Amino acid sequence: MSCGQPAPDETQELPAAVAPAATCVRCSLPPGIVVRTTSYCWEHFHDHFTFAYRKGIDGARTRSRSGRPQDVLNGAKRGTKRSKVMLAFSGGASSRVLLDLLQKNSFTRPDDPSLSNPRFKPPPTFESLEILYVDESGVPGFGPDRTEEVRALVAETPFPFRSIKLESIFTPSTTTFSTSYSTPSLLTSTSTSTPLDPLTSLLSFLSPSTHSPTSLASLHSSLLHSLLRREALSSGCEILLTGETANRVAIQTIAGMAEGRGFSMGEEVGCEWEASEEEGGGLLVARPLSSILLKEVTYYARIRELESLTMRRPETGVEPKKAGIEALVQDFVNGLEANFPSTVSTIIRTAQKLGMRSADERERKVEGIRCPLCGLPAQLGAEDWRKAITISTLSDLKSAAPSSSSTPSLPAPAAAADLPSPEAALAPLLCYSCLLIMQGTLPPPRGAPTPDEEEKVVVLPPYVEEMARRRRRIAEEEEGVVGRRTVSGVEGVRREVEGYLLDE
Amino acid sequence: MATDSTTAASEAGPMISLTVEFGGGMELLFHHQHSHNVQIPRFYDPPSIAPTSSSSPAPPTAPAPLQGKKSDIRYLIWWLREYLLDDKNRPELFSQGETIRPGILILINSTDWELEGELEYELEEGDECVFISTLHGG
Ligand SMILES: [Zn+2]
Ligand SMILES: [Zn+2]
Repeated sequence: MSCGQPAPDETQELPAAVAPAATCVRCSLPPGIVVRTTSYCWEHFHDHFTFAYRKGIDGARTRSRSGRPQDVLNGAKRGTKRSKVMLAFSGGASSRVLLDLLQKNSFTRPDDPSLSNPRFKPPPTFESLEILYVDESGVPGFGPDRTEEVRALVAETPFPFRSIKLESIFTPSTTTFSTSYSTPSLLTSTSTSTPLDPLTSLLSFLSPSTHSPTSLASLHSSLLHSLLRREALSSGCEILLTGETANRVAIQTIAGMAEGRGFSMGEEVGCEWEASEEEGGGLLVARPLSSILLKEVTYYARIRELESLTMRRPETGVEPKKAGIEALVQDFVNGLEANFPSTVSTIIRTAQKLGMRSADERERKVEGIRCPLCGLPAQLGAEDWRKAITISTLSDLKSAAPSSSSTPSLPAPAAAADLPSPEAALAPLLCYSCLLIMQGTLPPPRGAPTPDEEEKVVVLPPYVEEMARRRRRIAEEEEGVVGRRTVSGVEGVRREVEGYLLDE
Repeated sequence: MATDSTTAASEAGPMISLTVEFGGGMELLFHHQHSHNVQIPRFYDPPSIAPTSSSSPAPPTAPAPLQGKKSDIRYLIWWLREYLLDDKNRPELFSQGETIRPGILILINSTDWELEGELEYELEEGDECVFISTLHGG
């Protein structure tokens, strides 16, 4: 065993569960819930839960008081000014509980009769809070629009509610930005025509024959989070709060590793990260519940009688066979957690040691490299890496060349033909995980039309174009300093991987 | 506080009634209904619910045994799966072996079932058992 733990006795059954204490850990009352192995009465559970929330919201609270990193530097933020916050609200139990915690702990209203000392009115932690619900009914399999149900859930709260359709990630747009996924480098083009239904077109490009359900879920999540960040910034919010619990973060950690998201893991599992992509922007994305178990959230919602909606996501849903990596990992993690109550917290603590790319960047005062599709930190050269570790068929490489040659040996001009203009290629900019999604992860089915029989184009949201353009500008600015990265092209890669090519 | 430890002088019929509540998406597996009033036998014969038992379960209308093991959560999970679950071909959405699918929280009279002996908890007339899935919370 490499982990330094004593090897478990093979014959031994699972450790016999130690019966939880029959009294609350802090008082002598009968407990109502066991968290990991600690028993709590309702009141002391409430204390423990609120304390965990306060710890989770602390980064956002500090940010609200001291402002964006650039404000801190030039001391722009004055003493009483607080940040506006956007809460990404799905209607599920976790975001409903987060809303309740925010209302009770971070917004103190002067007329609140529950204040123990009505004369002492601390200023609210945040300037204001806006609830944003993203209607995902445009995604195939998501069922009907539930905006009105969600609106009713928050009607009792003092916060403004707004809903937006996921499709609006494609607007406002005067042109159509698309990429041809029959070219391995994902050549892009911009035209003035507007497709009728770009979201469905984008999501249905991920067909079951070439993409796993995981890819669909992952692309969907990239769109959703990009939209949330955009909306937060355009509403003048400096903080975006999302309701991921410890279980969700642990599941995302393991699933993310499997999907090739290791590089940006710190941002995806951390309590908060600086998502600002522009000098003037500045958006902190925080997950105040990320150290709290779903069991705790569920219990709290039950006792506090907080209504929520049942989420029926196609990718984590009721059809195990159709489910993606996330659903499989969810069952795996929950199964472990049932016998080893520290599974989730161990995964998270381990993942959080990975640190964050965005924090490194800030320390080194360099502008981060962001993947134009998911917006998370990306590593240069994912495309070359993928080519180097993937077994390609000869026909793949041949079909990459538009002038298909009849000779089995690859013509040298293929290299040039593959990159008519490196400016137009999307593949070199994507993170490894998004590259897998856009290039497809499964081999093309037998007898499927070869890519050049049919042009395969998918429309991408305008933010992808915007970020791609920005990435190229950064690259140009850096060119003088570090020199141009060699783009080896198909021929170079072919020489490298010659020994592995399969002839059909 | 009124203490009511002894239930009214042996009103002990062969059946007990319980309130069973489903939440967090569990209700979708049980007639899309959150709250159910169910009557289950007060006693049961443990081998009859063993997974290896070849005999098909007795219909719920069969006369309840007047003695045996007092009905517990283990039996309730079996009973709900056999008699109340909509899709009998997908028991794994609700249970795993004799216990509940991981990720489902059980509250017995508002108390975490882990504090009540889990599967061994012996059910009493009027108990409220809540099954909440945490698997779909977002
Ligand atoms: Zn207590
Ligand atoms: Zn990406």
